[in-house]
Amino acid sequence: MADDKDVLRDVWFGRIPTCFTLYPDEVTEREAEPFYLLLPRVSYLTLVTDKVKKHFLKVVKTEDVGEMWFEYEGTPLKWHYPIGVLFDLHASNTALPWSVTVHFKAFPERDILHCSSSSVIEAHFMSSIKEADALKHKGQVINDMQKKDHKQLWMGLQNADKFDQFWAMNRKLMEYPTEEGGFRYIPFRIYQTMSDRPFIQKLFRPVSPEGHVLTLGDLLKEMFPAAICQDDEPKKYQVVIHGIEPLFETPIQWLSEHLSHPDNFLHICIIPSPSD
Amino acid sequence: MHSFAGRCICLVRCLSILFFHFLVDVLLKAVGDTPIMKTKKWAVEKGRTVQSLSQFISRFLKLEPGEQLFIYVNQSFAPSPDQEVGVLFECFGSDGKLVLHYCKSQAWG
Repeated sequence: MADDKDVLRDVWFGRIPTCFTLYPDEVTEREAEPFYLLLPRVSYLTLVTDKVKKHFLKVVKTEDVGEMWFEYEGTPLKWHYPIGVLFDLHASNTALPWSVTVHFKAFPERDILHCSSSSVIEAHFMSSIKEADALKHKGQVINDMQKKDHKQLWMGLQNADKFDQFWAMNRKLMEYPTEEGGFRYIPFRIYQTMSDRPFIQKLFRPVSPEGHVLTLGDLLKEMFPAAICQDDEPKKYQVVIHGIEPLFETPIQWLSEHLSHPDNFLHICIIPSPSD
Repeated sequence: MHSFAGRCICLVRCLSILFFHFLVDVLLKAVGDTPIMKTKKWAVEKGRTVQSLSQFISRFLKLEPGEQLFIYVNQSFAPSPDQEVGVLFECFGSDGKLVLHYCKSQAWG
C-alpha cells in the first residue's frame, strides 16, 4: 500500500470552500457578514467551526444564543458525519463555495445530536474506529494499542499538518494477513438522500469464498443494485466517495485502505444523477 | 381437512414469521453497579435507534432525568445514538442475538 501513499495525502488534504451565513431570523445588533472557510473533508463540522461561532457571536444578541447548528437548503447537517460526506450527499453538483446557514436557535433535536464539547466528538470518533476495527480484525488491533496511541489518532484528526503522525498509527489498523487478501469485513456505510434510514451497513468480505477479489460493483450489487445501470439505460445514480466516482471495478479492499475516512469507515454516497 | 386448532397454529406460525422479520433478539447486560433488568432478553424492532433503546432502558430502570446511560457493543465501542439496532444485529450479532452492555458511567473508553 506504500506505493499509493499519494492517494492518502490527497484524501487527507481534501478541502471544501464554504460560505457560512447567519440565518436571517436570528436577531442581530448589526448586519452579519458571511464567513468563508476551507473545511477539511475528513473532519467534523463542530470541530472546525470555532471561528465561525466567534464571528457570528459578535453580532447575535447574547440572550438568544443556544447551541450552534448548521443547515444546507433546509436540511440540518449532522455533525457526526464527516464533512465530505455531508457535502457529497447534499451538495454535489452545486456551485462552490458551499453555502451553509448558521443557527443559534430552535435546535432540531430529532435530526442532530448535541455536541457540547470536543470530547463528544472525540468519543464519537474513537467509537467509530473501534467499530471499524471490530469488523476488520475483531477489534484486536485497536485493543492492543495504548491510550496514548488512541490519543495520537485523535490529535492527528484535529491538526491537518499531523498527516504523518496520524498515519504512523492508522497504518496498523490497515494491516491484514497476506494469505487472507484483506480485512475480515469491510467497514462501509452507504448513504442516500432518498431514504429515511440513516445508512446501509452490513457484513461484506473483500474476497469471495472462491477466492475472487470483490469490487465496489460487487458491493453495490448486493447492497444497492439500483446504482448499477444496464448498458442501454441512462445513469440514474452517482456513487460518490470523497467527491469522485470510483470505477466499479475497483477492489473494495483497496478502497477501504485508501479512501476510508480517518474513522476507518468507507463512506459511500449514492445521489441521483443530475438531470440537465 | 385442517382442524380449527391446526389452522390456529398455522396462523400463529405465519404471524410469528412475519413478526420476526421486523424484530431481533437483544440481550441486555448491566455493567458495574448499574442496576440489572429482570428481563434480559428483548425482542426489538430492527429500525429502532440506539437512542430510543437507551431511553427505554433508562425508563425501565427509573433513572433520574439527568443520569446518563452508555450502551456498548462487543464490550468495546459505543454505537452512535442514531444507529439502528437492526444494523448492529446484522454486523455484531451472534447465535441469533445481539448482546449489548449498558452502564451508568463510561465503561470502555
